Amino acid sequence: MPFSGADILLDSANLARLAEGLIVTVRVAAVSIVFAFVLGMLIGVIALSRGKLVQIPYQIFLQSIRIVPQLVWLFLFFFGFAKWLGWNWNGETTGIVVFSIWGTAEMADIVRASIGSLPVHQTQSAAALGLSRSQIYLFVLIPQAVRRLLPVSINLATRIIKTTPLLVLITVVEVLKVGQQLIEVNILTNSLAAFWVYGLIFVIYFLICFPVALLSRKLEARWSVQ
Amino acid sequence: MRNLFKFVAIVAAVFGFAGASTFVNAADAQDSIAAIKARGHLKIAVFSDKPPFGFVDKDGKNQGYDVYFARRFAKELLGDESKIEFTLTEPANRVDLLESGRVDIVLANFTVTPERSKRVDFAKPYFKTAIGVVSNDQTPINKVEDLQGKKLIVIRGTTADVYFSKIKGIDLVKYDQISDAFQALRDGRGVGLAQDTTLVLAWANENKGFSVGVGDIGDVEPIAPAVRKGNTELRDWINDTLAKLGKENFAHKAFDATLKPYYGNIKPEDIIVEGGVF
Amino acid sequence: MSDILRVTNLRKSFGALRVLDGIDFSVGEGRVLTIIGASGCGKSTLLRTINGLETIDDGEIVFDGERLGADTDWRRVRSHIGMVFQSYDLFNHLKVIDNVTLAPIKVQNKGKEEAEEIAMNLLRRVGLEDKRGAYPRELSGGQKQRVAIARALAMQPRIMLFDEITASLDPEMSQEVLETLLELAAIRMTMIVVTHEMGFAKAIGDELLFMDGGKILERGAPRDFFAAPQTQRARQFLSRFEYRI
Repeated sequence: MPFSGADILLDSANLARLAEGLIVTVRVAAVSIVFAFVLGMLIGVIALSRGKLVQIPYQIFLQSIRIVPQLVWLFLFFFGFAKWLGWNWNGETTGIVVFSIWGTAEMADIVRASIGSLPVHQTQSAAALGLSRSQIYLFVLIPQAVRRLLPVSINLATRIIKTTPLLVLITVVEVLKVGQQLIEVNILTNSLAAFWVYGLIFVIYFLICFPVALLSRKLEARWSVQ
Repeated sequence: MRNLFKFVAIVAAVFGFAGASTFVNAADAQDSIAAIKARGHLKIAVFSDKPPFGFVDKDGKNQGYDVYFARRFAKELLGDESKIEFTLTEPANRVDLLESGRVDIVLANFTVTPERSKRVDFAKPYFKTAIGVVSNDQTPINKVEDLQGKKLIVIRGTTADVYFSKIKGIDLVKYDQISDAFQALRDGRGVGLAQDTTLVLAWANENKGFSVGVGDIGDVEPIAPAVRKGNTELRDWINDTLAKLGKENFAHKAFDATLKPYYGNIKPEDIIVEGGVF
Repeated sequence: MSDILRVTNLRKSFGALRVLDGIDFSVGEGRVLTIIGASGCGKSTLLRTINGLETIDDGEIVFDGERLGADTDWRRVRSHIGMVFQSYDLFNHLKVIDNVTLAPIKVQNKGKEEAEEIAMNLLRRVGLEDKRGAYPRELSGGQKQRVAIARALAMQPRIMLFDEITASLDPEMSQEVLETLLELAAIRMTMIVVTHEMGFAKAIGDELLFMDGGKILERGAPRDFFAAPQTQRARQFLSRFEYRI
């Protein structure tokens, strides 16, 4: 019976719960990615300044976000803040805050590196034409940097999506956890429950990440002609 | 330069944690009985994917042995078993949920250990676990001595692995995955498999021709409700309630309702603790 | 004759290295000044001080009657000073036409249509009107530099600065770019041309400066300089070119 156990996916109650979990996953990831991209762009441009007043806080921000694992940040914000400051943010809010900060740091560094790697003559020739500093960023540097940072930032977006299962540790029930709940409840009656549920979740993750990757490939192809 | 920043960041993070923990604990006093009554519901952490202890059923409702106790606690304290806010927990965050004041009680198959007792207060137990050996009915293992000179399957790094490594004359066959270990037992690569009693009981119940001949090997470990460290008021209330429930054989009722379908016709007293009396 | 640009006693050091050491010169309306000298003699730095890409330590730069310095509104001044660099510096994400219209639209607030009309006239003048929709990477080096010239001209500058704009080009492409410059000279565009093309320096300039070690060692009519250089350094410099050719 090659399809034995597939009925776990045909149960509308099960599917509804998976959909609920999926909405949580997408909501946290999407909001975080939007914040990360916007704030990261801003901080990345600021971080191009070589002044100590910018570089020291920036490096501390970036390195502390990078070396401390996301899980520790989630615990710190969820349990630590509740304990020490009495801030009882719910798990989803905490997840969005932490992933936004993490994404902002990564995005800022991507932006900083992409703009920093543009030839200095781009800036100078734009300045020589009388463009202001902000016009140079807006019309010359950022549009060119975006083409360079696109693949890496898409990679960052998919990394954020794929990190959402960590949220179970701050009590958020996202799609993967719902899947595990379904599998464990059915394990005695359906030995292939894991296969079908994980299979569906695989497809779901693929359906979220693939269009993003496809879009980036299309844009890259279009821009490489230029 | 980069390394210096890393160093500074680590130092800042470590001191940040340590420094912050010396501040007033904001979680204090949110979980006094008066506060819970004023709030109108109990906040209890349970598992959502660990049947038969805590899981979510087909209709999306929390169920299981732990949940059965949780509902009764709500009824005893607030007069209504539905006055509960369940929080999903994982083994890794049970202590933090209590310390941060996010829940009042953890009822999540929480084994009492000296290490954990430093950070949370355990009430009296309502369940217990030890090491059990499941074996093929053709070659039954009914006591530890039966294993002499034979092959025993264990999962690397577990309590059972540690325990049997100290006993001479038993040939251990080690696996990393539980599923691989059980398959090895089916294939006859050992006469028995040693693991938590509850797990081998549940497995034997589902696999004809296998039974658990011995289920109380090693230290029998109590499993108990836990509250935030220092919340003696709530802990004492739980202890009193467990004693009271013992008079009506509540743990046995809970066993019949939640564990029996998983373990079959075993002796409830092998795993449950009635009235908090270990 | 009115001077558009007058530079007096200009000094500039990078740390201990003195790159400009008392430079004096002026450029009259419609005149072409060429500057030659070995690499590192300070000629590029000199050009860059004029539109504020480099600061100065001492001396005076007067452009169109205005003394330039730290409190200058460089954006306004730069829009009157066109500059073309050695490296290809077109904006790679923009089509040729958009490269040329960007500054007129954003800096001079010209309408798109007006800016494009100016741009097309200029592209026609540099012989690249058919490339209006091309991206920079589709152009040859010489074409890129001609677009860069058109881009600078689109701001309708009072003076144009050219910083070794043929240095990265092979001879054939240099030729087409230099011809564009000669055409500009013919319509009386005021220009300062830093170059290493000796034949070109001889042909285009009204006046020539020979720089060495941050100083102007010789100045005068190009024909005179090439016929009879006065200093030992200049003779050495020129002989190197003869040897190479």
